[in-house]
Amino acid sequence: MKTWMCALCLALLCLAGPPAFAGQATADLPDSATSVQAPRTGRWREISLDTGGSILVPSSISGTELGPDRAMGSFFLRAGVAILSQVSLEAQWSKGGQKTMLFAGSATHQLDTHWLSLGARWSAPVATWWRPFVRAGSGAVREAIAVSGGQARFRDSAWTPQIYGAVGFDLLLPPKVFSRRPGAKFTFGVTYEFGYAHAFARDVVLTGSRSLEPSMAQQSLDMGTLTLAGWMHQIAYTVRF
Amino acid sequence: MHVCLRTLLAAGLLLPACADRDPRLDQPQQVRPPAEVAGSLILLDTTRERIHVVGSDGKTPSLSHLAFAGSPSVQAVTADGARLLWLDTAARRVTVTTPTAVHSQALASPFSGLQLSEDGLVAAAWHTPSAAADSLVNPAEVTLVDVLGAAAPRAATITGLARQALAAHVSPPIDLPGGKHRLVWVDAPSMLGLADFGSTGVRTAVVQLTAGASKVEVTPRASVALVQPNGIDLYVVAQGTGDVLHLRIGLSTEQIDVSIDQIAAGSVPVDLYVYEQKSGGLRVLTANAGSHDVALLDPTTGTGFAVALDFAPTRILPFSDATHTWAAIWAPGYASMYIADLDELSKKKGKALRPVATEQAIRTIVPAGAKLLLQHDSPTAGLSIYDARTTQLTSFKGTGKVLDLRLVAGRAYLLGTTNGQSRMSRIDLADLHGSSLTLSEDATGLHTLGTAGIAVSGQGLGGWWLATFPDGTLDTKAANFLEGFTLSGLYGGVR
Repeated sequence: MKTWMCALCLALLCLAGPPAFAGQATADLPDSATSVQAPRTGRWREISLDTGGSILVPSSISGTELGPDRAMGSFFLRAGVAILSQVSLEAQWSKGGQKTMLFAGSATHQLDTHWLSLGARWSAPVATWWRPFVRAGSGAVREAIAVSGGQARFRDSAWTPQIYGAVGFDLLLPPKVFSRRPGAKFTFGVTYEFGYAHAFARDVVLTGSRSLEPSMAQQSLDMGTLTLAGWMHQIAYTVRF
Repeated sequence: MHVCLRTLLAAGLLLPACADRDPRLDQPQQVRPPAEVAGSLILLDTTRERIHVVGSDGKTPSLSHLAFAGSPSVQAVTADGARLLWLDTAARRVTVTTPTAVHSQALASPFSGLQLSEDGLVAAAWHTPSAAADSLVNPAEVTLVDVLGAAAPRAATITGLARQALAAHVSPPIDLPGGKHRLVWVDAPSMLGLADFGSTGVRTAVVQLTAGASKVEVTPRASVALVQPNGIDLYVVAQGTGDVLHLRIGLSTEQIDVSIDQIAAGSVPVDLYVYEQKSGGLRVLTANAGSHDVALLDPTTGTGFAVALDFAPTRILPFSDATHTWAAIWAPGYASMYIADLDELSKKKGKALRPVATEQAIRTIVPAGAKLLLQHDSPTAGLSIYDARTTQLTSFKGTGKVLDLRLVAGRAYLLGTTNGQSRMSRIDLADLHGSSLTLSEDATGLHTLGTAGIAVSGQGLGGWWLATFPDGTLDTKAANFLEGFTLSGLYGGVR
């Protein structure tokens, strides 16, 4: 996973690039709430860093009925870099999980996920403080599943492709709050989005790891097909510069 | 844009309706203990409404599932082990299960008792004394169920059976000129109810049982049926009489024709065995707990003799090899038994009975050809093997307190507990060589798996775990441990 993260960060840094190599600048949104200025050239591309929480509400797809009647929470980090005036490339990592008691507590089902994705965002040039956006992308999710009860332990983990799409908006403080310098872009705000994430189906076969004496082969546990998908809400703090 | 965003926000709040969690996920998973059927183990999961089937190809275990909703109250396996029957009193149905198929038949009444015929082809459903009182039932009703499902259940009401039925029995098939018959007889205080299920109809009759002029109630304890050319003979021992009741039941006539002979057996006969002597002639052997003897009777002449024993016998267990037939005469809780040579008993009388003293009291006896496996209530020496051919008794040490015993392919397997650990033992009956394996898990039962395999079960994740030894050796390299298998396919839904 570290390799994935390093690769993503490197890619973002390359995309951001130093000013000398920036062929096109990002949208430099005005301080005014009613007008949008043309992009400036020769400046650092706008970079966004978001961190927040995500709620995935699994829909009625195989495997997700196990969860209690509540959403699956996760924490995420996201970084983006503008490549056109309203278009950014983004990379996101999120970690989520859900622990579920089965059959009156006789068994526990634990699902831990790491989502890695690359995507694009298009932001509507409405105002400096309010930016509606649409974003979509794809990546992979690592689903780690553990079923236990008594002395029994079963585990499995695997990567599976995923796609997502969302709409949302940023609420940002005007840059002049932080700097009176002309062209200052640093700002801070919150972002909310609503969308759908879909990790593709995979067959989950858990491997037993119970400590047995004497040792003997343990039969695997075929849980069936898991399709982790559902509507999601994300809310985050965002920094732009 | 503002309107659009408001719409999206509203959708965001409304659309993510979570899939409803199945309420059964919050209930305990109820999985019945494994039942041995046709070389497989069948576990009924009433919570997930499915049957888990664990099979074996002799090397590795396999797992499959069948759908079945219900919570049957009575379970019975046919004598050949090929089929499992469940009686669901509340649902009024009987279900026949094999490792690959489930077939249910509706019953007209909430029967609470199920008695299989020896050939396992039919079963009688009847009302037990402990039947639930939440619905109106006629205790004189019985229903004959075709286990193969070729015919619908046939009901009969035994008119005149005024007393509560205590037990029901089903005869072997009776071939008469008019077609095949099955007789169901029902034990009740001082009477027997008969239901003759012929190929063309059902007839019933009631036979009054009396102890001569005495008004003592005569309640059947044990009975044996022998098919005759024109019907069936029943030999009955009963509480309240020292006689063997010999009922000749004619089924070739328009009405069921019953005549009774009473043959004096002894005081308090509690068990009987009816057999054809090698030298010819039918004999009835009775265990008489009151007079501490066994009696051998000739039902043709009504004569016989008794042989005194030094304890009160309650059980007669016949066993045989290719050339010889014996009977163990015993009583649970006694540290001795008698072995009767049935081929010589009529001639040698008491000399044909050999006393066998055991170190520990006998709990159960399992026959294995000419050998008897004696299970004892001992924490250390739980098993003895008696060989009727050599008259040798071998006691095994270190079995632990025996919880279960199985005979598989010429080998005896024992599950015992010792010092809080489970111990699985295997004894080859040919040379009486024993080996054992100590398991760290808390095992509760043994099960035959496949043709030569054995499985140990205990309670664990998903109800039960199974340690399978598909080839019957206690080699853990060939063993497989199954657990949590009742959770398999859970991503596809609880059901």
